[in-house]
Amino acid sequence: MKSHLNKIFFFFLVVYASSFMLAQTIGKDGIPNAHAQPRLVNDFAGLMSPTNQDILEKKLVAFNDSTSTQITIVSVNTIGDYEISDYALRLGRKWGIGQKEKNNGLLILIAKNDRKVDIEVGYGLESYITDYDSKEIIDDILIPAFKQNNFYQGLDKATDRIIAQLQGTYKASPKKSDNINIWVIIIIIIILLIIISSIPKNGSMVSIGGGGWTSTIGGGSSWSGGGGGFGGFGGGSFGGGGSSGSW
Amino acid sequence: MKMKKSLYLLLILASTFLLPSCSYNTLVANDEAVNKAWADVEAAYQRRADLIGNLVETVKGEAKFEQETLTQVIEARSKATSMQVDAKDLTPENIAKFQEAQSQLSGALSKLLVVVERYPDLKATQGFQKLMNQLEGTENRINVARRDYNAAVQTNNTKVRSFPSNITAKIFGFEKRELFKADAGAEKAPTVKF
Repeated sequence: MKSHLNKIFFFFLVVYASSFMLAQTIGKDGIPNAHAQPRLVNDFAGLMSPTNQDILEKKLVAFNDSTSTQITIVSVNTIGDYEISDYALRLGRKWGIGQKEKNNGLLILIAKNDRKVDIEVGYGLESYITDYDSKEIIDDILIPAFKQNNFYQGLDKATDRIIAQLQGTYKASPKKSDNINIWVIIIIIIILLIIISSIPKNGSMVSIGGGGWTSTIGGGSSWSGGGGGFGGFGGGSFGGGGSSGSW
Repeated sequence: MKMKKSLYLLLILASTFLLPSCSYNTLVANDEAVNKAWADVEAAYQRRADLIGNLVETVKGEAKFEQETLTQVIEARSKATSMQVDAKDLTPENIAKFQEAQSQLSGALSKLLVVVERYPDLKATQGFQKLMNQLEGTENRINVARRDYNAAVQTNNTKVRSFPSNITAKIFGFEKRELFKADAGAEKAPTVKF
């Protein structure tokens, strides 16, 4: 009986573990889904060492924290029959890279076996990173590095240049959520005053529904969670801006 | 008198609760989405027309002996830019005319790019390379805008035709919208790779 239970336990353990191993799920359209625990560096093709991936991830998360601009790197083995810019556009939209109202996402997609690279620029960044800028980044930085299999160096330099170029364009908006909190507090105080003033002198209180208000507090910053990790994509969209190349 | 008042009240109440369930709001949203997607399509084509204008200016100075090709491009361009279709009258004929004008411009542009191949000095300038890159990006945006437009039309048409929203659509005059058809061969052209 006991060994039976053990077997069942073991079975579930294996299922549970393999669900982690299959973290890269692929959608019906042949384009990978985002990790359940989203990351900005998604090296599905294994081009960089885990240490280097972490360094890049930290840099991009820090940039996202301060600007809400989401620079995302994805590498895949192959893009199949897609054109690389089309594949990148679909992936960027599917994952929702960038913030919804700002569309300030940028995707660097590398197709390892096809030896192709694409930079897809969200609507909101198109005027700061023109198609020609992304072409230059690809031709002058990425391709020379990729030719020598220096994927990390190329991506590190490219993201440095992109970050420098985007400096001061977008800001993360913690201030806004502060304002909301102040308003919520004022409204709560007003409601409390109404409730208090509506209490008849003899004591029996007339209930006024004020329950829903508290839930709006703290709805602001979604990227503040868990030790500086990445809080998730914001639902940004793309319109075909960017460039591509091959090495 | 009181009867009438309560009847009005009932009507207002009924419409506020029933109209959403008849998906009136969804129909409005879908309709607006199609209009917006069409505006994006026109904007993308307009952007291309502007770039072609710049291209003609750049080529003019260098390629003095290619007057005929240049004139063709200029004519096709002015025809394409004058062909604006309001989102409200996107009839099959109008869309066909619009596509016709645009693909003529694509054709003329392809010819011009072939001609440019004979002028390596021109091709090597940074200004020209930038223009080519921008044109390439514009073709991408046109493709995306057209695809988005067709997706919006499809969403709209499905809602307009399926039950029960088709009844609401009939009453309020929401109609099926026209799809962009892939034009024969011109979809991929002109290749502005360099």
